[in-house]
Amino acid sequence: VVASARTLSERLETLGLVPWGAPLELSPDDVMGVVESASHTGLVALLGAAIDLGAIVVSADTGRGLDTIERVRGVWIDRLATVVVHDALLADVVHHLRQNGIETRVLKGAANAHLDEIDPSWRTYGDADVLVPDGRLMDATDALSDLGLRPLVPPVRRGWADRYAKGVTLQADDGRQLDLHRTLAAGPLGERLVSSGLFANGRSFEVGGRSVTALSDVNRFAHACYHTSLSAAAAHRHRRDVALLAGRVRPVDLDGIADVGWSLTVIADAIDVAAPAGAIPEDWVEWSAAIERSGQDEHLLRAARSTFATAAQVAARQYGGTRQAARYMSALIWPQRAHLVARGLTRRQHLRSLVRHRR
Amino acid sequence: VNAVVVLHGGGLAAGPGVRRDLGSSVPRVGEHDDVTTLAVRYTRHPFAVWRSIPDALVVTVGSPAPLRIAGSAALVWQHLEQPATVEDIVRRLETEVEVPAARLQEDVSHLLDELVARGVVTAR
Repeated sequence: VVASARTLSERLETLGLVPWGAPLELSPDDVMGVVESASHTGLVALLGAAIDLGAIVVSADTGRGLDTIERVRGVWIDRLATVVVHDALLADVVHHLRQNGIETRVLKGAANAHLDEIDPSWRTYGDADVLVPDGRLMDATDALSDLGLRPLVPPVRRGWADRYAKGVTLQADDGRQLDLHRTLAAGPLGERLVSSGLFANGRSFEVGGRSVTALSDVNRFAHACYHTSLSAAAAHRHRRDVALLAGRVRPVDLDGIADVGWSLTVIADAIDVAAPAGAIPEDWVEWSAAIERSGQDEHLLRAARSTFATAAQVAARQYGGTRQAARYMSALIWPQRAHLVARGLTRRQHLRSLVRHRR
Repeated sequence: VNAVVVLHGGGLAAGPGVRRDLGSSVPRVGEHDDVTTLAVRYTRHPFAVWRSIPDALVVTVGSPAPLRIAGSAALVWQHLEQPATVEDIVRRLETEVEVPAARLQEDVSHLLDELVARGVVTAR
């Protein structure tokens, strides 16, 4: 049986989460199709794991079988090399921010790999993600300059970033990247999230011999759902994260989650996106079918998947009050010069692009 | 970020990429008295971060160029969770690979020197 690339990707997405059945024999070309997929899909690690488990057999007809398997392992270990350098960065960042009195929560890749994935080596990622408390984004950014981390693009304005930005991407001289988050979604959906609620009941684990803390199980689940639902094109690993965490928490665990500001509509949407692969437990599928969706949240979801300009306009309207909206928009319209320079724009080009988007 | 230094062990024979002239300060058999030699214990660096797949692993202690350890050399890493002497590791490997003990002793010793020099293993 030679599976189509789509079927193969979908099956890898659920490796270890649903019964696999008989070993799948693939041609070297089918395998290389996955190997050459973008790293953000996370499929190479799952392909390598499937081969090692004997779930996938590479046909030897062409004599390229063994070479192909070696190639898979080579690319897998290369992607894990990116993982370990970012885990090392993560440990340093958490330790340094702690020394500076700034609490953290480890997000996404590292947290999912260590706490949720069947084996940490099955989850690959290309950066580190850390949440800091509301109002501490710029303090944390300043503190991390001690480690040689600098904003990839300076924020439109410092005060704006502390009040409205989802986060800032920092980069080290050696190319390693850290996404420092103030909240977990852009715009109004992110603004609703209560920082203290996100920091409650974290789960600790060790990275590089040092203890770090992730979000609680239910917050990690909700975050995985947001990441999947708000992405214009959710990748296989996003949907797998939802499936992994849907197996860890139950619908009843969502009691009180609205107090943290999570939208049940967004969570239900992510369940709908991930369910077709077959790894979402039935109680979640039933929950999603029964949940009453908020029209306003569905509107925000569509806006979030749209262009930045559309999302910004919707966000400004949501902030309510002319003064608040003006404060939000003014920095976007007239950002600090360093922000424009980093984006390779003159002020005139920036203003022209805003007018174009407005039309 | 992705630069990977490769150490490869096939049958624990050090392959390309493993230097044998490191001049490590770690005492080896014959360099010091037996008591000192036997007392040297190796373990993973406390800040080491690694991921393993069958027959290979990648490890770093903060460097943007992680070390890749492949082949049977990766087995040695598995035995470094707790402090262990060369002899401890050789005894365990004897049950896992078909290599004469004397050869194992030499290869493990060279490999550990390399791992210490690369900063991912500590020797006390």
